[in-house]
Amino acid sequence: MAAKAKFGLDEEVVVIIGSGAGGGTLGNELAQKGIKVVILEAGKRHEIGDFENDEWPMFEKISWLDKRSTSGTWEIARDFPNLPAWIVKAVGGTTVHWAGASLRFQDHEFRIRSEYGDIQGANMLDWPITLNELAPYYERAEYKMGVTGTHGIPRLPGNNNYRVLAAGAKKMGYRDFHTGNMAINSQPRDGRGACQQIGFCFQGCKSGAKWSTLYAEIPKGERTGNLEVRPDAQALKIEHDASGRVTGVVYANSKGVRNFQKARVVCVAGNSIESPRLLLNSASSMFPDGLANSSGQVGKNYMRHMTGSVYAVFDKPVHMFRGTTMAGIIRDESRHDTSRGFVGGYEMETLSLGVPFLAAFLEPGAWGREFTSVMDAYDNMAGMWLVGEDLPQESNRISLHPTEKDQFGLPIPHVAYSDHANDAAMRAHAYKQGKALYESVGAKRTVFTRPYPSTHNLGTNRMSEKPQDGVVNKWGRAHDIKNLFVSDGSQFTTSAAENPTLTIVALAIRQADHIAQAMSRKEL
Amino acid sequence: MHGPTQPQRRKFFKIASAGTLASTAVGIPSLLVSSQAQAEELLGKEVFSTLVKIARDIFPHDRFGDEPYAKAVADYSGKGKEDPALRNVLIDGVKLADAAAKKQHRKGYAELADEKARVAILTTIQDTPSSPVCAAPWWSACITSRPSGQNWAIKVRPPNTAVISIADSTINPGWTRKAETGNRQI
Repeated sequence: MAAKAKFGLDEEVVVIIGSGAGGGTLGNELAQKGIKVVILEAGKRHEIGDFENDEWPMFEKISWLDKRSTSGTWEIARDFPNLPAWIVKAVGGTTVHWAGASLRFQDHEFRIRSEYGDIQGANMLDWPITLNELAPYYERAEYKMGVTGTHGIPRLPGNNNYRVLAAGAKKMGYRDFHTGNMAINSQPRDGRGACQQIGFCFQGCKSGAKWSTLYAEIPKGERTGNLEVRPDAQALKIEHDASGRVTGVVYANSKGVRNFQKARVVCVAGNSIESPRLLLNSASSMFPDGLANSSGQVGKNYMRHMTGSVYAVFDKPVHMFRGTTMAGIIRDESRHDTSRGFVGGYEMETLSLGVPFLAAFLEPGAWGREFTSVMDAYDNMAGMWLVGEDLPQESNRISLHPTEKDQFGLPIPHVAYSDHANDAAMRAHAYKQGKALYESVGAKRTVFTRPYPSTHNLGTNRMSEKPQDGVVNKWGRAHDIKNLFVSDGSQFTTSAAENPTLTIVALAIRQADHIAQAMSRKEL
Repeated sequence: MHGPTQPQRRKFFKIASAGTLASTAVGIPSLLVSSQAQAEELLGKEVFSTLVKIARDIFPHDRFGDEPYAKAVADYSGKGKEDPALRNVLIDGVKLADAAAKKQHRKGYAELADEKARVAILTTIQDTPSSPVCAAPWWSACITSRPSGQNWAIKVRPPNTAVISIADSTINPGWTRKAETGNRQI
């Protein structure tokens, strides 16, 4: 085993900003190919031993809590005005707290402009790649992550929350439902054990059965001697030379000490709020509107998925919190079928929150007996999450706050979001179906829960065929800058209905191949 | 009735209280006594007891006694020791509730025997600008009305959990996820 790498600030390495699904995967893939990589991670490095099966303490330990502001008609601007996104600031990024749902996008979701046509208020665009092109990388991603229901890997057992969902699905006449395609080991695999059904998937998986770049990718990369992960290193600005090529990254630790890491290639993977913010904050006299922004699309087309939850109270205990949190899905409604009154579709997935989180998120701001009587029925509750395609809109965007600055003196990100009428119609349909499903198996009461702060943040540096339509090309390479890449969900052209992580990982594997080939051809 | 969970629960209470039994006066853990005493000193006994009543009225759980509410109020108002603004917010909030109750019923808030009447009072004042009870949940109002630049983790924590999660883990440990799976943690 090679010693852990430690690269000098003057070494021209590949610098990746962020260590989550995109950055962590890309870092390991490049390191395996013999390429020297430094990952700059804004957060700390917590290992599995640091995880606590307790919702708020873990939330405070790993969440991205740096200040952000919001506007728009979404409820988040009222309920959680400074917490638009519920994501992780730590090594492993949001793969520390993700649920593990690993679904491929559907064929039509790569070309919604062609399939759905132009829709008023939406900035519709086809991806510059197809499902066919991505399929081999989906294969590799599923194998790497050990996704259940693929590569002969058995599915997870269903918990009680799933049993309620499945019984309702049968009554509703749904056909495509099971315990999901989960990147959670159903049997020992890849040096990690099988799921112990502990619950607390969102607090960091205490058994390590859930795939996370923190312990499934990064240590492998580090063992090659080609990957150095620098925690507590927040990227502030990407520098470039007179030819317009990027040359390195200015970053700071939490004490404010700044350094400049030279780079041969820079890959931005800081999630869909920080990635465009970094590009915008890197404006220069040569790029006055920010890096890679000749299209003006950096920060625009922010998508968060159409989401919502339905919780139902039954006359007997369900104990929804026991076992794997999201191992349960109904896929029938994910089809594109405009007879329902909207384009695109949605997934119905099991979800539970613990008492402390549910009290906060069930109905933010609620008080009184109407509210506490639901909480008192916690034991008898089942829950599902509804997640569907939302449409890209230019006015939904990340911009730099005109006055407020962060701890480094840089403008904080402002997140503007308003639902498109299509999102609202889809959510209404999804709530109705969720309620009907639970009532079909005897629910006494159902509650519609508003979207939580966004866990799926997408689209703010989108891929496009033509440079004027987006920020990066089909490889995630900036249209404007040859050695600058975007490697996270911000490169998504559209959101599709599915949880995004598998697609982020597949794109990272594909991008690693592309970067390695371009480097060997001396193009980078 | 001897349900299978009963012996476990008794055992849990025994374990949970083992460390404090020796130092309790009337069966209330000493920790609670001291944080409550501090809060009463800080806010005044009447303000404290009214706050406990308001906390219960906002998040009523009939199977809980007053202890978890008292603990939530004591723990939360304890922060007012270093933060005079918070202390004032708490005291002013009670003043507002009392004033509204006196206007309608010629009695202080805590003297109103009818829960519906008390909830009606809270409803009338919940939207009053610049008041700590201006928005439900009341805890949230208390926290977010504090000056900016405070700890974000506290600001974003929607505080109805303050009462409920403390209540749950104090009174009914078998109910929370933490307790349910505690012995299976790795």
